[in-house]
Amino acid sequence: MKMNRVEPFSFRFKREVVSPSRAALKNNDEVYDDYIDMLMVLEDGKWIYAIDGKEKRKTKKCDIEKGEDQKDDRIWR
Amino acid sequence: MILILSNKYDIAVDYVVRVLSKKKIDFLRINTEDLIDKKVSVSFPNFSYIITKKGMRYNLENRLQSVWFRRPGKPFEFTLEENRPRKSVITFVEDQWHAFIEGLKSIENVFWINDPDKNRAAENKIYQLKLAQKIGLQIPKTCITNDKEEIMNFLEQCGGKIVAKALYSPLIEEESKDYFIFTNIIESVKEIPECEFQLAPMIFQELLKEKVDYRLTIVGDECFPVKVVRESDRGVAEDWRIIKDGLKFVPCELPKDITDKCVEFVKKLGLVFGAIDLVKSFDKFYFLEINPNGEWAWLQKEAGLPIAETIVDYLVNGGIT
Repeated sequence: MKMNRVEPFSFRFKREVVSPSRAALKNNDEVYDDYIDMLMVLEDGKWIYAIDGKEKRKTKKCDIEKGEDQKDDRIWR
Repeated sequence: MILILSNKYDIAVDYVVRVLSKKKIDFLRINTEDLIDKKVSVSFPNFSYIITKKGMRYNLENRLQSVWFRRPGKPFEFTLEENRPRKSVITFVEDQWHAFIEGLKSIENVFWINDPDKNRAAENKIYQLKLAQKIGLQIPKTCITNDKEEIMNFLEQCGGKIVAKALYSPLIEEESKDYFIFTNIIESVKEIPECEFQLAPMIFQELLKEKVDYRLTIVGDECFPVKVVRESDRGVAEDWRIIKDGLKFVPCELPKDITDKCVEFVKKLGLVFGAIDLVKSFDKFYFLEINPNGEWAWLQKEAGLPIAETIVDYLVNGGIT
């Protein structure tokens, strides 16, 4: 059987992930502070802890993580 | 010392870091995507396991008490495409670091949340369903197959409507875009070419009607259940993860029998942490799946659940609370 053009049935239900991957984001409004070991974001002109920010996370990981994340992926693969 | 293995954009870790810092608990956060910028060494015969961070040398062999194996980042994961080495280099480098991280298990008497080997095993949905059933949790009628005829028979048995979902990670990474496969309702497969099914097995389950979704986050013996509802307090007919806005996660209580079985389930999997998806349909609770390293930060923030504090308690007390 020639399978080179066939996609799995589940691909019929694929939905585009809404937001970009972290690497693609190039976000200048956030920075990881290595001294406090937390992510900081720029909101209303002030640097605050990302966990205190109003904005929801914007990355692909965030899109898929709500409730789903087998991204340990046999640790990585 | 508590060691956290994750990546710098993992917000859940920030909640835990905040608690650790407030309580002045000795910890070391390693965002493993950055290991390529750090210095490490393991020595014999006097065994030492050294990681250097911010100019400090940490010998984990004599300091390590607990590890939170959260979401180790991959080398180059957050590097822009144009700055990445070629794929073969990335793969090789990832494998070497993977072995280095895995080697931490050779340090004795360390408490892990979760043991990465147990995480890996627990991610298998067939194993999950089998164990859940054995423990006495109700599971939906299920057929995992790549056989079109089996699917058609199953559809008929289930009254003409079933749901379908991926057996493993539902993320599809294409060159230019990424896609995700949620749970979908299937009413007929007659017109679908057989080869599409044959290519990969998939999970098919009975459609649970008038369902209400629950997410039960477990840390050791502590349970944090929430009910997933729309703003209007109705349940969600479809896969709730599709809905981006207008969802509420309301802390709730579940029958003790259900939480007891779920705690037992997590323990039998050899895990400390687990995020379980349950569904209530016509007064009966069904187990859908467990995410052994599931996301919970949004529950800490939106539903005010003290999950970070509980994880810290377990890390500090080595599982004895």
